[in-house]
Amino acid sequence: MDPQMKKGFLDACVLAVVEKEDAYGYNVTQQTINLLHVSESSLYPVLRRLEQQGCFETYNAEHGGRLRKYYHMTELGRQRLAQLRSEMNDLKKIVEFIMADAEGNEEV
Amino acid sequence: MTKQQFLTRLGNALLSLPQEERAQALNYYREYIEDAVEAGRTEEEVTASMDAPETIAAQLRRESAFAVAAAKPTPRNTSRALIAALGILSLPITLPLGIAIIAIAAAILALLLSLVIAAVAVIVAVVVMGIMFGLRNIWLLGSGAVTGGSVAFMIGSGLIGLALSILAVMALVLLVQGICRAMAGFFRWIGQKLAQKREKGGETV
Repeated sequence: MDPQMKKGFLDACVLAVVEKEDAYGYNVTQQTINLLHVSESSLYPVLRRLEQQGCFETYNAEHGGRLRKYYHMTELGRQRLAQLRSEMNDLKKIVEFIMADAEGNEEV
Repeated sequence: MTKQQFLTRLGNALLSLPQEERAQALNYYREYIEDAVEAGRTEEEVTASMDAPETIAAQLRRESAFAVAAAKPTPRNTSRALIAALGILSLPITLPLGIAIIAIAAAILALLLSLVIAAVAVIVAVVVMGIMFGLRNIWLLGSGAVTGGSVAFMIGSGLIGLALSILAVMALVLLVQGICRAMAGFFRWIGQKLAQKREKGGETV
């Protein structure tokens, strides 16, 4: 996939993961890289930027004798995700158009 | 490589960043590798699957407060760079130094702003004089007291004065942008110098 396109989806993917439940860096990454084929280390700038923009709050929780940083979705984060989801809807129509063959049937 | 090797290399590559940003990045990747190991992977395998520390650091440097302020010197970005620079100055030893630096920066800023205000005042004066000059000459022409040729000369030179004033305003805008950019670069330079000092002090990850 085009790198710029991947970047665009990365924010939405990370927001969607954290929306489901509070997440820490490792499990956000594992869930995202299956879909987007980015390197494991590339999620940190995204998490940090979204936190700076106010989409996430963070807290530390104890786990196995060490502290783990968790990301939690804020109201602003929810709004941002809703905005991205409506953009995805437009994208869906484009994708369906491209995927359909000349006779207007869906290609498998 | 091992977790420690990875974190050491990353730490070194991030020395030019504000201390807060650098510490957060190191904490994130330390946790990440530890979570991966807990999931049954080896340190070697995880670090191999990540980008090189230098690559990660390059992206973080690009997105850091200093870089954003240097590239786009809006007042908001410049003040964020200032706050990041103050973050670097959070060590007790450097507090007097930090106060001195801020005082100098504020003094320079005040000096530059007063120069800007003076330049604006001069420009306004020139424009007003030019307009009054032109109006007076039009009136003189109407009353027949001077020849058309000399009035044309007066009006022409008045217009030239106006054009120069416009150019001066444009130069002023560029100057202010340059000042913001220079301030951002100045703070980044401070950050780098202090980070190098910390390195010589033997800070470990």
